[in-house]
Amino acid sequence: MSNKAAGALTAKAKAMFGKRIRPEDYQAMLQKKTVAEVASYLKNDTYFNEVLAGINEKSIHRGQLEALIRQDLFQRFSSLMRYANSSKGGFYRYGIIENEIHQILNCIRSFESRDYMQFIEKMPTYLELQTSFKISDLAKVRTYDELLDVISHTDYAQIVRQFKPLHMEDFDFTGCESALRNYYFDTVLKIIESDFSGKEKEDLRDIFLTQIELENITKIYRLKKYFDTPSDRIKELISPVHLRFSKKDLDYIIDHCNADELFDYLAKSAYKNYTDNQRFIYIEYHTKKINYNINRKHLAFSNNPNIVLLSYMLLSETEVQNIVDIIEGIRYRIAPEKIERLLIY
Amino acid sequence: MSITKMKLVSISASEGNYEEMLKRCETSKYLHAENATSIVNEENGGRLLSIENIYSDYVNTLKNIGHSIGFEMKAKPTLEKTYTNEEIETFLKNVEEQFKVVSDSVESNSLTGDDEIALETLRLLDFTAMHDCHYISFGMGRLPIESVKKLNLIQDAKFITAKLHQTSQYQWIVYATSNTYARETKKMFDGLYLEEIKIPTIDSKKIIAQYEEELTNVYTYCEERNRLYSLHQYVSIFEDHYVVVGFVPEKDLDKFKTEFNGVDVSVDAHNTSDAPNLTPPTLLKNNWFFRPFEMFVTMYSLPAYRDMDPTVFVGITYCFLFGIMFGDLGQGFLLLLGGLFLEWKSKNKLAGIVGRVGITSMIFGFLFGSVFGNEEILIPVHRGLFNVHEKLINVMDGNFTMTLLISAVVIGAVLILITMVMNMAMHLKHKDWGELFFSQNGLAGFAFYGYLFVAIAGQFVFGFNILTPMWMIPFIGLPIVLFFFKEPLSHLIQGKSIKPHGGWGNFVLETFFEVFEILLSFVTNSMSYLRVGGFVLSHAGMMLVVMTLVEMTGNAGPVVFVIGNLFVMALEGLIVGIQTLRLEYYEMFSRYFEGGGKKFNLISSDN
Repeated sequence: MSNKAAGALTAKAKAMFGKRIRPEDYQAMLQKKTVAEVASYLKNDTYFNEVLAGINEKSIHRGQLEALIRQDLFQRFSSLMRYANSSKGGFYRYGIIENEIHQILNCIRSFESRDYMQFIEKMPTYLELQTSFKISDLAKVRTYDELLDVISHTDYAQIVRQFKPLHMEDFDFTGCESALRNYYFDTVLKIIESDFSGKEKEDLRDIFLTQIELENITKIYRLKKYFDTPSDRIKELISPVHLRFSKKDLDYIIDHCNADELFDYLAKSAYKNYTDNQRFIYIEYHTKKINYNINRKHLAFSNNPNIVLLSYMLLSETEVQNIVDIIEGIRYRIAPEKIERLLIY
Repeated sequence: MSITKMKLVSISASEGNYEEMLKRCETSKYLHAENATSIVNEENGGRLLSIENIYSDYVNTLKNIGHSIGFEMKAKPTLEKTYTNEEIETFLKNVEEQFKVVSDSVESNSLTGDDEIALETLRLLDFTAMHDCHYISFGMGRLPIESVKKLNLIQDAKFITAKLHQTSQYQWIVYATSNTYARETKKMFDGLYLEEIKIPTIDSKKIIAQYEEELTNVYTYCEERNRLYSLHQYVSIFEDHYVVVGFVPEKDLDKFKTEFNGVDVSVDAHNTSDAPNLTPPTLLKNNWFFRPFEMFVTMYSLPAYRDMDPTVFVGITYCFLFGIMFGDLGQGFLLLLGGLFLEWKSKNKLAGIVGRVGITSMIFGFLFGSVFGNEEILIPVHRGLFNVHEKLINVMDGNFTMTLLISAVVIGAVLILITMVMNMAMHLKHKDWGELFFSQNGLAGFAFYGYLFVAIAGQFVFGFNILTPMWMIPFIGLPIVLFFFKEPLSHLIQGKSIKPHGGWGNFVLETFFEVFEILLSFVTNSMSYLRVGGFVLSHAGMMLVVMTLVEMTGNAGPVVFVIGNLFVMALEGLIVGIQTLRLEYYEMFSRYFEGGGKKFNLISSDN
């Protein structure tokens, strides 16, 4: 990437972040009584005005509103990519890979439950031109073999094939999901390893490894708290990477801590500077908040276009999730203060 | 160039003819009617015409019906049918019942323009027929474009769809399915975020078409009756006579009388002084050149009927002051052309003023030797015409600056003296002796200010000195005393007690500051005219900058020349226009103009 393009991307991404939803916007949305009012606020008072320009906010469907906001995230990514270097295109596919995995897992769920419509409803067809297989073909899949046919020419086929069950009721969904997530992280880390160097490589690794590690923590917590999963099984399901936790730390948590003790451990760990002791809600809130703070730091202090782009996109994802939480909270008449506790900003 | 002379008229008719009389009054091109409440009083035994206006309710009901079904009520130009109140009541009841069904089914308030387009396409299928189907269910609505793509992904679809309309975000579709799959299909479309629009149970357009003619006829009738009833406010009843009293321009009286030909009414004309309790309306009358300046006068206040119309004076002084401040032959010519063209095209009075000030701008531009900022082009002409070395008036000459500024103050002083004379003439007409003799804008003020003007001119220009006690006592001392004792002296002339309202102590204190303020205002008002000279310099300075830029920019010079001239014309023209208006209002109007007139309004303009 030329210096000019790098500067443009950095400036553009930082300027776009400057237009983010502010705490006062969240407060204003939390005071709304209906989804239509939130839609109207987003359309008239935030930077989502462009993507929501043609909508009829009075009657817009909640799902449609969420879909448009997610679509806007992808469009922002695409618009920033215009400034990015094509030689590093492999790295920028991280978002697409994540989405592809998500669609494969959703497809399996759909033919497992025979609820094909829900899968179609949520399918991001706007990604079709970017994906390595035709995601719309997944809509026609009714069996495991048909799925393997659709993704046969991709790396996913080999992973998914390993989990092919004799009967769908025996399917190891968690295992398959973990394997695909591991593939995602492996792929991205390999690209970082080969395409980048120096401080840039170090920062990109920091961002992704933090994500993996916090995902591991979440997984451990949930497996312990809700499924009472044995330690050996937990170790199989988590990604074998470490950043701020050593392998010894992680093994200690898995072997000796219960779900609540895990929080204490996290609060005293190297993540302590990024945690939010004021608002302890649930494990995802905690891990996402840590991730959010780390990305805010990267965005504020880095001038490297790849770091800025990546941290901007991850922060934007958090923002989109906040809006979705508000919309759903209002739809299901949850008290504003309860919704507010879920928001990360 | 004055205020139109009026005649007081009274038009009277019998009970059987008064409606026809009102109809003629309503269409009259000359009548300004007076409200009956100002005519009728206990002494003259008159009464008001008071009949409940039921047609106002009918009109509102019809408009509400129209609004709820999306039909615009419009009266026909001529009345085709008349109705009794019973007929109207029955008709309204009938349509209200019928259209209530329609408005319920249309839900017109919640539909967008695009929804209407989609419904219009769907109308081809016949709404009633769709609802009458026993085995097929229909649905329609807005489907997000993203969801439209997904329709093709659904295998074994149990429905068919048709596109009705599309925008960048949505496609409006209608779908049909068998009753067996209706619920499943609806759920599926919900999942695809279909925003459903209810298919109307009946076709409102058909019903509207059926009632349109009669609705319009009834509305036309009610509207006309309502209008006529609203004119009852002008009718007073004296015994059996229904009378409308008003004012008509004296010159149009005969034409006004002919408007009532063929109707059994009597039209009597009187002098305006015959009804001292009625204030005649003011209708300004000016020629083509000065008519646009009426706008400036009425913006301030309309002159009273018995006052003087200052439009001509405003026109002359406005053009004169603007011309001096915006003196440029070329730019003035453009103002003249542009202003007159816009006046002709749009009848805009401001454009008319722009056109007229263009003339004086050209005259002073010629005297200043300035054409589109070029200060040399007219030098040969000036040499030939005025036998001068360079130009007759060279505003950019440093030696001329002081002369220019003093001239501006002299112009201001002359205008102040003229406005004082106008003020005195006005008070003489009204026999308001106190204001005429003792006020700062009356004789005392004129003597004081005029003396100072002559004395200063004599001292510095003509070489005589009248700044001596012999002159100062009657022309400075005496006027100040008169300013001071204006209130008690006025009371004395009017034969009232000379003791001031708030007592002597309070009077002395208040009047001391008032007189101080009067003396100060003579100075500040005169200085205010310095701006005239200031803007001459400012205009010339701005054009100098433009011409310098033209020289600097080489080949792009002509473009800079045009843009620079247009820029200066727009900016300077606006500023000078506003400043001149300020001088008119603050320095001149405040000295002689009171306003407070009543506008001449044709009775027809009420409706």
